[in-house]
Amino acid sequence: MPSPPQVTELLLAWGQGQSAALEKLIPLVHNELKRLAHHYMAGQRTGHTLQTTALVNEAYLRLVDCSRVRWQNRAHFFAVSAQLMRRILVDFARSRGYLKRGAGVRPLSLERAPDIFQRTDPDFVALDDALNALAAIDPRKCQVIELRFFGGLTAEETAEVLKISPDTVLRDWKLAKVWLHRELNRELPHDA
Amino acid sequence: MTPERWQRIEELYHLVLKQDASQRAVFVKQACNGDEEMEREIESLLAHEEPANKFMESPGMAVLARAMAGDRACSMIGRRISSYQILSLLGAGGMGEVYKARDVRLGRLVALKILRQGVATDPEHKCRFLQEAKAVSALNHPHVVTLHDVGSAEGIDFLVMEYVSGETLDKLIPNSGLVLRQALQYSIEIADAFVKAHAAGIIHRDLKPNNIMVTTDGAVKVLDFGVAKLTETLEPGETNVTVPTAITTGGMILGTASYMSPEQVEGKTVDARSDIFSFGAVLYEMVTGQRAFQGDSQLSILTAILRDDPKPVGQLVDQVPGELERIIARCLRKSPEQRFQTMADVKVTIAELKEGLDSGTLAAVLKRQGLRYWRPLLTVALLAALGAVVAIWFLRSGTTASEPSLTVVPLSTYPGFQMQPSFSPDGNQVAFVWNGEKQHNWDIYVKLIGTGGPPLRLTNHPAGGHSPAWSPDGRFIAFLRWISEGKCALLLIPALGGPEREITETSCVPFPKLTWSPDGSSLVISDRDSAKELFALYLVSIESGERRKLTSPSPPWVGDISPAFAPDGRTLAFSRRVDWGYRGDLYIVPFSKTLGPIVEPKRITFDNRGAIYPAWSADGRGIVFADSRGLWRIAAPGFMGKAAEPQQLPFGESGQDSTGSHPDISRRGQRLAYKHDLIHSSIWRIATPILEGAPRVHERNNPTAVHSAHFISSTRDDSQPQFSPDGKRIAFSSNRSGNLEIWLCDADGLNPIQLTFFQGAKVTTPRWSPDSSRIAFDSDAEGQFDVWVISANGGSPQRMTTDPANDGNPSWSRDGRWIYFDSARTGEQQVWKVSAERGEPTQVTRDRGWAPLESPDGKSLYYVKDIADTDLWRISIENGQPTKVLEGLSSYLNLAIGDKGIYFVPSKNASAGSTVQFLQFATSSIRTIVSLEQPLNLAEMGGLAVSPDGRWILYTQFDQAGSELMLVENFR
Repeated sequence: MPSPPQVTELLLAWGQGQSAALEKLIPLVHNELKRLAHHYMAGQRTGHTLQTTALVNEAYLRLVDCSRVRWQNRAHFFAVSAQLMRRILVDFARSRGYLKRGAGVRPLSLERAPDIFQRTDPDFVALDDALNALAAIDPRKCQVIELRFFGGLTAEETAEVLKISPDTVLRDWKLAKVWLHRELNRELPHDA
Repeated sequence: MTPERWQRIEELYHLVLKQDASQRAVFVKQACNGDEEMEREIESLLAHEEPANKFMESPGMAVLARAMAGDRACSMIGRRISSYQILSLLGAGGMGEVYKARDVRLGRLVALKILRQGVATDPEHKCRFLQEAKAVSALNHPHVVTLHDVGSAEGIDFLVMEYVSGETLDKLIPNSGLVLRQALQYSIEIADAFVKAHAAGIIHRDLKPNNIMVTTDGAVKVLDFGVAKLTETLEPGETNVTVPTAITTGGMILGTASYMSPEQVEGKTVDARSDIFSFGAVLYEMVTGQRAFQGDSQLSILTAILRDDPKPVGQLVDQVPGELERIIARCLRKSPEQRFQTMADVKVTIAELKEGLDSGTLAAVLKRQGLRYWRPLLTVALLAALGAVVAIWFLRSGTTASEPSLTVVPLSTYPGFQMQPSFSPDGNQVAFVWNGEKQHNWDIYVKLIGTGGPPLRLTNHPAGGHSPAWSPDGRFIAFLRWISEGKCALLLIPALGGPEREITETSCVPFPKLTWSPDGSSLVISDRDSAKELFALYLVSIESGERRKLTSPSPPWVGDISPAFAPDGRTLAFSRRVDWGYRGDLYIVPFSKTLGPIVEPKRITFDNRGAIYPAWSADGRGIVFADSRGLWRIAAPGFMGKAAEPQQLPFGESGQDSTGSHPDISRRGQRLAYKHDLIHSSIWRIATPILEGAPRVHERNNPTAVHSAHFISSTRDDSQPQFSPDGKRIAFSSNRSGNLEIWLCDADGLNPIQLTFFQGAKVTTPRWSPDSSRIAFDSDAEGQFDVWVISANGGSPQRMTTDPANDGNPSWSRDGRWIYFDSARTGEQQVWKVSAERGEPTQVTRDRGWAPLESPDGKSLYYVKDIADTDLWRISIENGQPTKVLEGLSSYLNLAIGDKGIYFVPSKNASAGSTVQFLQFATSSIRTIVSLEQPLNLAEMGGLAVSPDGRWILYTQFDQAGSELMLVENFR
């Protein structure tokens, strides 16, 4: 696997419209995913949950090294990488059949998700569809979700990228989640 | 829905959220003003308000990764891939997850590493991969985890590796770093693995603490040798190195990129010197507990590797030898040309450093630096492996935090036994007893503390010397020498070597110890004027050899031994014994100016645990002493004052295989030295040769030699074996349950079961009744030792004797009616007998007797006269007439009476003791029946036994026996 600077270059290239960069980026993201998955497996084995936040941050950091990006490019760069992550993750989930409806509530999830209405992990494919619908009526909320959920940014970083206040980010984030949760659970009665 | 409509909904929704829950429905209705669709929209969002809280709180990547994890782990376990049955997940790393699996063909456990990236399908890639795998699998070394195989089945590519149980090094390094000696030991083993691998042209490329296993035996095994290269051949079109997996601690991101070499970071070609860099980073972390290169992100770590020099280890840890700091720095140079060029050089340099450390050179250097160095050992595994260096902060009342900490380091770690340390007055040298490089002679040695190399041998006499005591003026060392049975000489030798001078002859006493009067004019020894008297303390003039009795113990005590003069020269501490085994207490006695008696000695310990070897602190306010549990300290009471409670010292504690004893405290320099035992005894079995034939010699290279083998063995002490007369079972003593108890096993040594359950009291000397149904033994369960009997099938033991004196060493009469034993009930050790159905014991011997055993015809009794006696006597049961049977017995313990004669280990060359001899009743001739190539290293508890059919001899020996001296610094 290339070292992080290369990832950053690739991301920038992709953001500048060089679609060939994506070819090279996808396996890198996949590797990070697998790496994370391995940690989760190790955590399951030993019975203690790994420090999810730090672990995931690490993965994002590895992929997206913001310090390499010049300040004026940052917003663009983050937006690009979050989009990219969305695309790659959703494609990946789609190809593997992960998180088809119901899959997210399997007890394999480290967080408790016994109640279907309390599900904490979304179905990526359905989520992608719902996000597209959300973007049609409220593109900013879609971006907030993209940046935070797929891009791994904090509320503050998201605020910086979107040039809005962190409070607004949090309000958008909350409502967008409510909206998505409703969209993703519309068909639940039939499934159950 | 239009964006505009959604915007209105959103505004309303936020307004609703500000209302009380009870008011919301009404509010929505009013606000929507008849727009039912909007009403429904808002209601439905409100319904999801609560459940959405926890929704999507993990980043998408985590969600997906978790799903994958569950998927993969669930699906792999229980599966069989090729001939490997997957049992459990061992771990997951950058290159793939590792499972514990069973090779069903070979029936062995393996570690199966499933590769994330499949082996390339194109022939060229595949060929490269297999070539590389071949090279790696050829790497066979005790410190390398072997690659057994590579394989591919059902679309899964995997590596099959040696399964090692243990812990990875990253989990064993405490925040403060490993104890230096341990770090060096590990690094030598790691370096050793690399020497072999590099010679085979294999570069690791991914050395890091979690690629280093420490096995449950404490050995190092390096994982994933060459695997980085192997998997690299799998990455399409990539030649770069792996960015190692991250781990996290407390939310901090710690990149394991920390161990990459600069050339790896830059993506250049790497060679063996890259491994040397990574090795340096690992060593740095072992010593300091911190990463050499740290950062908040991968990038800052990588930048640090390229740009920064890590903080010198000496700035992070106290008392790191400068040499080690230089070694680490030399491994971590940015340019490969400036590093060590080969791992062999690294290994040799570290090994030299460690040797210096082991021999004590460094301790002195560090001492001069006045810094703290040794730190507590954190893991049991390490402790077991190390057993040598422990540091303890000993805080006693009055010790302030600013005072230097107590540290404990090895003072001498030569092979064999080192004991009886005695400091020079300035505390810079120590005289001690050692049985030598070849372990053939006990001599007095002197060592300058803090120097390496062999110590100065002072005595050079076949009879050697023991019990050294350094004179107060530093010029002489007084010591004792065995000169004949029971007789010792008291001698002086110049501390720098030279002619010896004999002061006087004295009796050899158990637990010998000398002490100088502080004015240097005399010595105090334990002696007796005749064999009938008890051992007492005598003041001996250095000039004239004149002696004066200082104490007069009387029964039930058996003697005063182990004297120590207080620094004031007016008070003597000593041990007054109840027996020569475990029991006795510490006493002090004050003298007049002319060392005349004033009052009777005063007892200062009261638990009858055998307190012995007192050593006064330099200020005379405390006494350190030893008992069977370890080292203790007691405040020296004023003579009228109340005795204080002893406190156990935080070192030299009694453990499974270690007990501290022989403490000595320097007059200056705040040092304490003590002996640290490393002992483990087992029962060995050897076939007896045909008695008429010539003795067979046990030689390793001679296939016809007598075969001697471990017979009854555990991690603890097993001793005193006895065959049952029917030949079916063996009784023995063992502390394998944690307490010394009697155990039984089959005649072949198998199926051990615990027979007694005294759980704390000492239970020893099992002896079978002639019908093999009962076992007599002795135990101090009721305070003193008594004779007890228990059924060989278990049950409640019966106490046969109740006298407050010690009764022990029981044995049965051949008719099963009597149990003989020895007892001090009259004030003298005599042989007694008691009816096997209990009753009043009657005295058998009149002129002392110990450890009786009846003859096969039941007409006489064999015994020795004293615990330390080397003559075997026989007394006729009929007329009570004693006769000497043989001389030169090593110990009453190493004696067995057979039908045709007496088996014994002779005292000649007792230190070597390499024969078992046989005294034939019929001819009264003595011959050697077994001589062993290896000297018998007879255990203290000992025990020789012969099977009823005469085919087997059992003996007890120390398998791993030795004692080292330990040095405690800053002892106050």
